Amino acid sequence: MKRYISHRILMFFLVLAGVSVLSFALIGLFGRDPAEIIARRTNINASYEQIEAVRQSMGLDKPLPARYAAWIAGLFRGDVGISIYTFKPVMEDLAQCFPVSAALVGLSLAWVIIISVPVSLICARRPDGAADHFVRVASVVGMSFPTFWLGFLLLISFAVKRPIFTVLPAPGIKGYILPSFALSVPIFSGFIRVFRASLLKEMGSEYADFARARGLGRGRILTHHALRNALPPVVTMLCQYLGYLFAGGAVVENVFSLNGLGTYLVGCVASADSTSVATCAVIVAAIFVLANLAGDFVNRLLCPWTVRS
Amino acid sequence: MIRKTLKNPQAIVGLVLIIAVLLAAALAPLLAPHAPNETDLTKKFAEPCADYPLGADELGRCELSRLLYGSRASMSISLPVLLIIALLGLVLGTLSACGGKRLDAVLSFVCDTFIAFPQLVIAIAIIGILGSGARSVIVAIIVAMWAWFARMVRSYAMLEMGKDYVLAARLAGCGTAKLIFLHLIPNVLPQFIVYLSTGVASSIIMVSGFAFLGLGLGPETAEWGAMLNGARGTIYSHPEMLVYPGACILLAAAGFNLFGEALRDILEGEA
Repeated sequence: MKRYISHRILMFFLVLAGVSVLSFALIGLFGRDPAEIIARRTNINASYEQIEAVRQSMGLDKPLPARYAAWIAGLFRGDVGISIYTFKPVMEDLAQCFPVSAALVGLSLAWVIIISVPVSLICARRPDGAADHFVRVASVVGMSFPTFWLGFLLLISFAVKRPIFTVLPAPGIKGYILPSFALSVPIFSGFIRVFRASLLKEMGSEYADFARARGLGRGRILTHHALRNALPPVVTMLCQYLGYLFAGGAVVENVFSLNGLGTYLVGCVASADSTSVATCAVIVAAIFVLANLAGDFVNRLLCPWTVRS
Repeated sequence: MIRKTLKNPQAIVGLVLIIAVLLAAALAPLLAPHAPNETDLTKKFAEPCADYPLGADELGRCELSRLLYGSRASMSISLPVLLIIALLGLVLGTLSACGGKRLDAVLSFVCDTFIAFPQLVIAIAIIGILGSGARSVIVAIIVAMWAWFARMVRSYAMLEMGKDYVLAARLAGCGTAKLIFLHLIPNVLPQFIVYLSTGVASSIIMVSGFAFLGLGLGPETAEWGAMLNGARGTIYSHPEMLVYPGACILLAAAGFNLFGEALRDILEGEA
């Protein structure tokens, strides 16, 4: 167990280091000159001297490895400098767009749990029943929904035709209801499939037969015995999405005009802003790896007997 | 297994959708009543009629023709992507599983890094490096998705490695390359085809998502995602222009997903 934990922690830092190097390398290869982008923002016909002046003042004249070292040092101080994209400190930008993404991801996962748990239980209660057949096909179709199109459909039906919501985001939680739902549809569809299969696998095992022999009903075995054992694959999946969605929501953010992490990242890459991109990428990757780790530990707590050495 | 697949209604529906999309892509010039970028401003937002079966868009371009050509754009990116990813995934995944501990550790680390890295950043950066165009989108999606495939193949190959026939092959003097190509790949292949089919679906959605964000393919391209982006300005007056392209994405992706998932059910029923 100790070896396992130390291995996972080592991998955590290695992956973060890999992600940050990859961000710098990608932006370095990108071929756009950040100094030129900044200079042209104030003066379209910026001269060579003006561009060079910007380059020196922003420290962009140093080679990429030196800038990487400066960024790492800044990261440990909690101040990575100014974003080329917005001209504000990167940390300030993050403080603005991170809560938007967190709310979007949190609500989406809430939708996923609210919808997929009861539906999967109903399916597993009577496998091959009418409801089960319908859900199995519907879930495959749900998995195929492009989230941005679903967003538009929701906007057309609930903001344009029936003005329950607004096209531009409303303040507070109301503005997140439609986007989070659009984001969650393919996820809970995939979830239902995995959860249903896992429940049925548990229902076919010997302890379920034994419970049946004791005279318990299928519904009770399902909720009191099989449910807990069927959770590990679903927990793993939920945690994977938790990390994935933080940066993966850019298209939905775009449809609903939300300024989340995904939108910010797109802007930063377009401005060849290596420090902001690396900072965001490291944060997103950290959430991703930590969420996976958390899923692993939850599974170990839920079903300690499934753990292999 | 093929007979079982042909008896499964879900697989048939999926297969029919897949063939329909492929036919639309192959025969687009014959089926489309107009050229995809032929503009006729007098036909701006024309009602559906015999000449323009689904009406015309904000520049008077025939909607149906653009949708048909859209399948071409989508397929000409998604199919090569999956072909290359399939090869990469099979080779790297099996190599990782039986190429020794050190190689496995390095490959797993690279996979973990790419999986944890935001896909969108990879895509934008690569499209920026290579310039716009279908080829850059192909490379971008490959770089964004290959690690998932390699990891998937590795986990299945690891399961196979524990089985007796691998040991028997080793004892009989089978080298690593021979073991990979003659024993491991054929045994991982069924599960891999399932993954591949659903992979085409996610690639279709990803391509249109990029085009929607204006990445890789210009707004004038007849591509479903780009068309969605073009139509968003008229969400109040002409919402139907937002409905058609998305429906095409959904049908194409659903075809590959229905087929893949039906195949998975059949495989798991056998196991």
